[in-house]
Amino acid sequence: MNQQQWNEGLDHMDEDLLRNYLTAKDQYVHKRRNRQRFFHVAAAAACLCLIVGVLLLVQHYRNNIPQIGNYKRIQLTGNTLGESVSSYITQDTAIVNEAKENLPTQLPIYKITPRKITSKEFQAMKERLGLPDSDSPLFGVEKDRNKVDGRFTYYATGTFTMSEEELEALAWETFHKLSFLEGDYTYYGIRGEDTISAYDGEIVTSVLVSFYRQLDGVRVIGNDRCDMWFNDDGLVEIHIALYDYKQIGTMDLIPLENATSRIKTPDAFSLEGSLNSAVETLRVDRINLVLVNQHSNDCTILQPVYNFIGTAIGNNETEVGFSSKIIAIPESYTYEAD
Amino acid sequence: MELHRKHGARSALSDEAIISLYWDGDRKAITETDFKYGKYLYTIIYNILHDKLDCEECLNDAYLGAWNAMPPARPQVLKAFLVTISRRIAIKRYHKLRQKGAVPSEMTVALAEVEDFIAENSSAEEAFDAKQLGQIISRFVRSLPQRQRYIFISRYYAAEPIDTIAKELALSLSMIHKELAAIRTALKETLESEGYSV
Repeated sequence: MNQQQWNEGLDHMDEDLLRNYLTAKDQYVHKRRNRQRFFHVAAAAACLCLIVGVLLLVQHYRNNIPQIGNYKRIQLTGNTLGESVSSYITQDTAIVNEAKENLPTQLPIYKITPRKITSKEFQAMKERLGLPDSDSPLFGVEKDRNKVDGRFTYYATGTFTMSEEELEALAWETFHKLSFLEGDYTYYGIRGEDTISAYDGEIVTSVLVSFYRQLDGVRVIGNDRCDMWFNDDGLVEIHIALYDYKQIGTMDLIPLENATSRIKTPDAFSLEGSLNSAVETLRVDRINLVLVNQHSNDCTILQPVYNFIGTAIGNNETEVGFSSKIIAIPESYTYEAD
Repeated sequence: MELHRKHGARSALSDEAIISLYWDGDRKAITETDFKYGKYLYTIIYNILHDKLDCEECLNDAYLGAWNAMPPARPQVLKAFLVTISRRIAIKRYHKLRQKGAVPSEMTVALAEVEDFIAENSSAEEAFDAKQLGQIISRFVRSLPQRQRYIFISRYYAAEPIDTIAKELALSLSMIHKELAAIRTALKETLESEGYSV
């Protein structure tokens, strides 16, 4: 083989390798510029240091400089490409982006700390909700550091006939009795239901509603949870996990444009129904950012994820909803899990 | 290499908007492409040819190539599309110039690094399939760890100088040389196992 043939071979290298290279290059160049900018700031800070002392400078440094490369990367699960979804999404699948969102290019870096629920807070919660002590092996409520889990009736008993308004009012009433829930929470609505099959059809016995924590208007998902099950008698189950978030810096996000180019090869992908054919078009209706808390996997900071939501249209014109998730924190901030 | 181009305070159009200009047959497409990607494309070509006039001609040819390709092409990632066109044009010119004499560019240095298993001017009588070699290279690149993958493409595809790669990755020059040596050893084995020889 000669040099010309070698170069021709390189020209036929798979395009995705080149795309990934260019994306990585943008990030490295950006990181390098940030590094250079950092040195300018550091020089100025050094002068300041003469006035305010070395100690304050170090404190400033520790508090404000992102720990590049030090964070364990989150892992998204679900139907990822390469598994079942690869049979749906093909090279011919077209992307139609109708989303108009204007998303931030930077987000704060939030350090995650489990927020311990004290015995006093737990006792107050039980009194406010009128919950009995956990003396039954089946029912009761328990606390474990930053978590509260409780169940108060059998799965198959009860009925649920409330209107959505009544349910939301009841959910908020319950929420306000939990004094340890601090910060900005949003009512998500019904996320699931328990049913039993009766002779005349399915009967809903209880429904699951969730509240989501929000930071700077961005929803936190993952370990942070506030889930409540209700039936017509009231609260029947509760699951809470509390975390504190402290801002320790600011991170860049991978450009939305780069993420958009990866809709077909995302970190996680799910279809809301089944298509009996390959996907002809993925129509993106909206894009949002979520922050993922995977503290139990040693991921110590919240990590942003782009969520592309829309409609997958099959060859046979069947339509189902889809969600394509792409991790938005640049790889330069993170290291991969073992 | 330093390039100084002043464009005033305005921001670049999105790739989608630039592609639409090409599709509408609007000449502004080339101005906008040059504004957004001209500097990087020039760098890629310069690494290969190392001559200002040749670079400018190649860049013009690349823009013309993009103009002729869109439509019908509607690239997913415009930058990658333009880089591919620019590199092909520059490489073609590079090999023409090499036949006449030495080309003092980074590409020449990068090619010299692989002369162990890629000959400068072997007579390639046997049938050669560039696509097949492209597949072998792609598989090889995928088998590399992320950092080596980046170094390989930087050095042998984009002909980036070693010190540029070192600065981008915040690594020492010796570390990059070490990584490149490891890549070349693995590449040689791969190519030989696939039946490619000097």
